[in-house]
Amino acid sequence: MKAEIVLWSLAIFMGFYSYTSSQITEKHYRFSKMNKQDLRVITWNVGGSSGEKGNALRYEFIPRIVNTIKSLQPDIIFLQELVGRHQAESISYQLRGWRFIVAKGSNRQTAIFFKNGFIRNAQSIPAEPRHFVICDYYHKKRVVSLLGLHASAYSAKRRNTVIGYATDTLRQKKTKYKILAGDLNVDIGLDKRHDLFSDNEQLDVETYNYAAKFFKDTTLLTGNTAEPDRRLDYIFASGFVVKRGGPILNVKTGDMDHHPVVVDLNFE
Amino acid sequence: MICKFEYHKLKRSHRPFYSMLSIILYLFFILFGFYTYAQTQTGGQVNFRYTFENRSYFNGLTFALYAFYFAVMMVLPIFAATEGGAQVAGETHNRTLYLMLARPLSRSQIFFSKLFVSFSYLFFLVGYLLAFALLTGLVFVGWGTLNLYPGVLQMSHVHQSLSQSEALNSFACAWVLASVALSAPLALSFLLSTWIRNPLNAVSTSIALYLILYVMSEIHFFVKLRPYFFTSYMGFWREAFREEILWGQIFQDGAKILAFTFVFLALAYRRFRLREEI
Amino acid sequence: MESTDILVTAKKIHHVYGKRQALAGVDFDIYKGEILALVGANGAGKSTLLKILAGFLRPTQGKITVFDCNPYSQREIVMRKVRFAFAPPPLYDNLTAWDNIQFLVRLGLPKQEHPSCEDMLKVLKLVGLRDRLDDRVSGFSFGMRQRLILAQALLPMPKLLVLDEPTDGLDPLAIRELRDLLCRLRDEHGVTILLSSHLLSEIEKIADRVLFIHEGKTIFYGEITKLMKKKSTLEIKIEGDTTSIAQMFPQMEIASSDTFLLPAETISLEEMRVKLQEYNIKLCEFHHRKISLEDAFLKELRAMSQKEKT
Repeated sequence: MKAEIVLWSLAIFMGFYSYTSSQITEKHYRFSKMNKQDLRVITWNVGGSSGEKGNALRYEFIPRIVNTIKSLQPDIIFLQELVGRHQAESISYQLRGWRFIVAKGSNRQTAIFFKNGFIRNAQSIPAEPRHFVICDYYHKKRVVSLLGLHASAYSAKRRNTVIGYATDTLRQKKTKYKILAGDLNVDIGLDKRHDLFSDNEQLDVETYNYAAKFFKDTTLLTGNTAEPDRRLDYIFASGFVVKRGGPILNVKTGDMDHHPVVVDLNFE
Repeated sequence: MICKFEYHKLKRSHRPFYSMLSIILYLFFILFGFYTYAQTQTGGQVNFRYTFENRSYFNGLTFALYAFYFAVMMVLPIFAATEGGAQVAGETHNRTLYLMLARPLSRSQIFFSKLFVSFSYLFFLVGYLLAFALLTGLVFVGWGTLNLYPGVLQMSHVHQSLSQSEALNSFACAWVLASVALSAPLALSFLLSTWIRNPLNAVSTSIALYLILYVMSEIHFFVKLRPYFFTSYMGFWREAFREEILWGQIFQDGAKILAFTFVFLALAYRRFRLREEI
Repeated sequence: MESTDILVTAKKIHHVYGKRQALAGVDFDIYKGEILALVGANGAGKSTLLKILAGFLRPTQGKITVFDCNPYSQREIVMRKVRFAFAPPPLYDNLTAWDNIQFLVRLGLPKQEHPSCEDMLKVLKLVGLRDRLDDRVSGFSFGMRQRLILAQALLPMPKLLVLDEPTDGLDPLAIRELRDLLCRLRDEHGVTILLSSHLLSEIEKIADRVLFIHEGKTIFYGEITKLMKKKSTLEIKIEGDTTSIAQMFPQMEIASSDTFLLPAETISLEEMRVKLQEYNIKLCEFHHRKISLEDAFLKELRAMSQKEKT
């Protein structure tokens, strides 16, 4: 009887320890006014997952997105899957004057929003299946090169091409500070040895490695960013010190399948 | 005395001998598989040879790691299930359990001595496999720097490069961690062998259940159920192969595995304590 | 008999396996220094009773105490005084005879109570396995396994020895040796023995009391001598008019035209002679026919089934 009590106690202790330690090790981003950083960056694929191939942002979700952005107080936001420029304008208006750049091309557009500072050399670069945007952002006497990207969800080959191209384009910039963010659609999670969402896992790994070779994956080991348990949204950066970061759960609404990913950076 | 007796029974059962022989055979097949694969990839230019510093990506340490990986996930759990089944169900079936129960021994002494000897044996088997794999790697291929890339084995998120001594330290950690991981299938087989009195049925059910849980923990469809399978955490020993080991992560996954182990053991012990010997 | 002399008390023991009633209200006591035989046909409930005694099974109803302990919940205490030899003999086949003995007899005992190697050798010699010490048990015949299981049960010397079918597989000489050994254990060492066996001729020779069970029920429990006396008969051969015999002895049984049977101790030879003379009948033969235990068992069995029918 005593032995049984000991075994049950050990089981409960181990379960409790693993549960409480998972709270510590799973570093989902938690907003606090006490946090101090030079730059707060958010990337969020605001599209939905319903419909045959999903759908871009619905108008009724814009207030939710705006409220989230307001409460998080970021400096830069990368959004993916906007229906068009008019949605970016709506968001900008509701954010009371935030400026933005939007990629050209398809109806699922990538945009970069910023609160302060200004932008130079903005470009919408054609790629498959959609354009990505690149610009130089001038803020606090520093120049940060930004690249917003939304890679193909269905083809590892296309992802490999666009991410490689985007990485090369960004690293050719002469600036010290660089940020590549967006929905890269590659998931190389340790426990997913047979990812059914990818048509070529090995190529995805190579794609990821190529980006990671030049930029730091700022939200590594912070948990999944998309349903059901995939990590698809990344903020790669170079020249910064990462203060904290990770996905924010329980913000997405409706049929959205991505969480916003936040990172706080300091200039080196 | 009882542990000595359990150890003596294990030694005389020939199970260790056959297990060690199976491990040698397994490593031989893995080596052969690597050789033929490398030959196909290089058009027959493979030169496996003994060297302390093999500079190629594929060296003796990589071989040992691959061999160990598959063994911990597929081979050693079968040994664990066999051992658990043989310990309780085997003795019940042969009625030799009567002999022990007819002596002034409590059921907990019998249960825990069997558990202790089984776990020690498993720990030895893991170490034996690892040592033999490393030795085979050294003799046939040669050791070197252990380079790990995110890939099929999912050993790492990003490229890791471990020097020879770092890699050997990681192997030593992996020995302990893999033994902890294997304690869960061992405990599961103990649980089943307290319910199922025929050892053959107990062992086959343990193996089948392990394989089902393993497959389910690997397939993406069961993603919501994964946290409830111990097999989802069995690969936690891989965390030892990092340039900077994340001990927090290791302790967390180790605790999850041990929670499953202790639940299985508590249920097994309860059943063993209360059951009647028909 | 004083209560301190009772080692085992079983009261109204019932045991049910699923829907089958294995034991139905068995009562018995085992007294210190006696040999009690447990007799019954296959499936009578003997093994179930022994398992309850060993604490392997819990009786569905009733109470059993062994040395004032509950054998199920206090098995470790009970097993310090009681030793079992189960049938068919379960042994570790991969181990040698010596390994089996040396580990089993020391299990659960503190080091100072461990039987010495000399004791173990002595016991092995006693059962005739001294020369087969290093042989694996897997190569042993059934009889040799019986001897080994008996040997392990003798160390350390128990207060109560429970033997399940100990004569199975033994040759006649070994059976005789076993009989002598059991008598010696009882007489010289004061060991109480519970013996379950089919060999009623052997039981008759060594047991003091017997418990007959059939289909889980007790059909006789008591001293063997009393049973034999009760079941033995007088065989009387007469000459003359036999019609009045039935009037004289209503309990008589007719064996042939001139011979009839009476229960033993109904009448003495002299009384019979006088009584028959009154009716002018000549008494030719007067025999006291002793009955075997086997016949007594069968008679009891028959009587019980008749009683059940009526």
